[in-house]
Amino acid sequence: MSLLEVNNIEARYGDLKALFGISLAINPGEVHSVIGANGAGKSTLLKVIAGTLPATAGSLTFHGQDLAHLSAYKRVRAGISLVPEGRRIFSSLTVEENLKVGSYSRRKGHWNLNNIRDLYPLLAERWDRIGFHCSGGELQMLAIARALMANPDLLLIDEASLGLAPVVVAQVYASLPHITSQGTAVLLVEQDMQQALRASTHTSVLLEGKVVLEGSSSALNKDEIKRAYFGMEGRA
Amino acid sequence: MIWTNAIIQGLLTGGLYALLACGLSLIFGVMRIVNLSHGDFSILAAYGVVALAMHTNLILAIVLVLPVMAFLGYFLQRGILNRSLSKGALAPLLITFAFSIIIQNLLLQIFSSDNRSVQSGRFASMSFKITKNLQIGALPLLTFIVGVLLTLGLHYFLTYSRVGRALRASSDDPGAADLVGINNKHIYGIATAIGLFAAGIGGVLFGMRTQFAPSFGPIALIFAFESVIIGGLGSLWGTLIGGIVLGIGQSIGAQIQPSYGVLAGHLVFIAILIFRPQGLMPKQKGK
Amino acid sequence: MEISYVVSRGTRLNKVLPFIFAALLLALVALPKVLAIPYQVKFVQAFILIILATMWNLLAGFGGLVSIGQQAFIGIGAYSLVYISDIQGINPFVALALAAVLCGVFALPLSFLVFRLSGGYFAIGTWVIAEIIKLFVVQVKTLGGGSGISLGAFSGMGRETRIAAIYWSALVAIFLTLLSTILLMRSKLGLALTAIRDDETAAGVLGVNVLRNRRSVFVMVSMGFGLAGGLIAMSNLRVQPDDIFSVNYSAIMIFMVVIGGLGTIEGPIFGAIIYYFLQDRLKDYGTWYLIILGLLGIAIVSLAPEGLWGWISRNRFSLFATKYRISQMSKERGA
Repeated sequence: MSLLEVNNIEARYGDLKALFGISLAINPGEVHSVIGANGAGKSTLLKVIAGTLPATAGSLTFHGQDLAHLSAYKRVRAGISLVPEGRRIFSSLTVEENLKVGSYSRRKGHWNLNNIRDLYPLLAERWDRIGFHCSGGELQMLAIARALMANPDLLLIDEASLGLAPVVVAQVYASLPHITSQGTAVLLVEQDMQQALRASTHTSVLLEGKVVLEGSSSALNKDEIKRAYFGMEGRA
Repeated sequence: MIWTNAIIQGLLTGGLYALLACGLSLIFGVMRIVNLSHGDFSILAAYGVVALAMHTNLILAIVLVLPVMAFLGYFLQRGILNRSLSKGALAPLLITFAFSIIIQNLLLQIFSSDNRSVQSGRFASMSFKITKNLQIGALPLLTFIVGVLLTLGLHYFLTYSRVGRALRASSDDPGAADLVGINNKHIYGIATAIGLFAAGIGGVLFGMRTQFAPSFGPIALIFAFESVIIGGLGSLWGTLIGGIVLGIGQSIGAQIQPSYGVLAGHLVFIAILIFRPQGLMPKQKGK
Repeated sequence: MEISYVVSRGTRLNKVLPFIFAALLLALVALPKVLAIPYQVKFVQAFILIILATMWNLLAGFGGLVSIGQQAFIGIGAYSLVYISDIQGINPFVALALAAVLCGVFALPLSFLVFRLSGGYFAIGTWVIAEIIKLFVVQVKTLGGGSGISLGAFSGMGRETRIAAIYWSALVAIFLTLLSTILLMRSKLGLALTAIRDDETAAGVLGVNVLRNRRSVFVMVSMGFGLAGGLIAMSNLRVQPDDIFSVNYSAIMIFMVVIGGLGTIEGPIFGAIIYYFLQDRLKDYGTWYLIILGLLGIAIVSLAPEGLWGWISRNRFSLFATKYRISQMSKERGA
């Protein structure tokens, strides 16, 4: 049994259907990347898993438990944490306070303030700075660190590299192995295809709300991925 | 000497206004709801103590009433107000205004429009002589101390406790709070519980200092509101300072002519609105 | 078959309605000839309620300005009427118009003050202003101080003539407020207000001057409240500061608008009529009556936030064609 099983999920924003039957499975300690063009439904998928957007069809099971009637804050308590698009750091709280709020659900595990300092030394230097005054890179690290403070079994990361300098992106990705070494599975949404393939064990390619290609990241053929990414399978 | 006296009395009254106001400020800070029934809940608590004190002693009556206020706050928030939050800014305003009318008229029905007061016996008339012409009443002093202590307590609660941090997080971004495992509805309930608890303390001390009737809620709300605006929105210490400035303004006005007291307080409020609309101690950007 | 869309203001209903309204107006004008005085008084009360509800709705439902201090202008209107007609000796019906104008003159500078507050704090801010004005009025000896002042301008007039005259004034007042509300909503300002209400930021970005439009509405409705205040003074023949500046006016206005339907023109009229009959029926129950109103208000806001009118019409039709609507029609039929 996988940690998370997504079966034929559909979702919509009002009249606009965004996901058309998505399925995937994630095992503990695994990094699963979801890639695709803008509007392919990557972020929508994460929202559905995190519980901020309801699925209109299909099922989600986590640790064998049906997630359908669990609201977002209860899913955090169950072990799913989302690093949202735009980071959503509490701007009036300091770095330390943001991290402490992250542990609000009181889940036990490896991650605490000390281990976060080791994971992201840069955050340790900014400890008393309020979120409002943090840079983009600091915010991204803080967002991941805040999610880790809940000691999730599954970490969802939405567009980790968006708008960041390459040096910072490298630092963020370098931290992934430390996270998965604790048994945490990571579901990564990423626009940068190379980055995603390098960091993950499995990859799903989304196009117009459907999974068009899926497999082990090392085994997938680059050209095949490109065609799937842009939806050109017919012309190949 | 008269003026020193007026200023000191105003300062002490400011503590009362801070008590009436800090709950209003907290509820607004967390949910952006302006609780138009805030003053009525203060008066409700005062009546609760009056009614209970007939059967038991004053301290026990207060100890019993204040938790009831907190529970009432929690359940009104979760049962009625939370539902209205998604229906735009108008709905919570209308609902709290309706609370105000309901409380006033229930009190009128039960207690009539006669003036009442919370009897604190000899304590009400005790005072300390500072100089020949300057006396400080024990009750105003107690009110002031409670006002400062409550502000301090709330400050520590919001800064250092798990739930306090969650309140601030929820105020910053409820959506993100949801994502770290915070149940916003519960947090809102707690905010209103604390707000009405504080309103209750203010109401009881108000009722010990002066006579009151069911119609006094609105004036308590107005003083609380003026304290919040004078001090600066979103700042707890600002609210205390605002209460003190309002208290001193009223007391100086009353020294000129007794009927000018309230008016002078209003004029201080208007002056702040014209010359320093962000208040005396506004919330820092992002803070 | 091609489908095309037609943008129009009304439905077929709105082609017939003007004739019905005209007939209704004629009937109302002729009413004092056939109706006994006590009923005329009741009509005046209902007219005043409709004016109040319509004005409050214009402010909150279209202007997005929720105020609980509009009794300031009811009071200014009432006192102005007494002052202008009794003390300045001007004809009371001219004084009524002047009282309304005076309210607009007061409202303009006050708007600069209260517009510094927003949302709920704006609401209480306006209330404080009303309290301050009351406290000032109480200090003025010529206006009777705390005990109030009687209106003497009608003393030479017989009761029957007086009531009929007040009735016609109220009819003119309600006609003017309703007409100007409808015209306003069909004007550019009305369109701007709707845009601001729907999305303030977006409207601002598109070049709608949010503040100026809101200020215009604030001043306009204040004149309407002044008119209502003047009529209240006329029908009570007395003005008392604690009554005329009472926040209860705000409670009643909010109740009427919410129960009828905020943001429509018909809703508040409907709400005012419901309120009129409710208070007529329930006023013997004293305090319980206000408790019931409060509970009813909470129930409506929670369960039917669009109000009773919204619930009945379901946005399918309107009596006063002010909203644009899009309807589909096929090419064959449309051509």
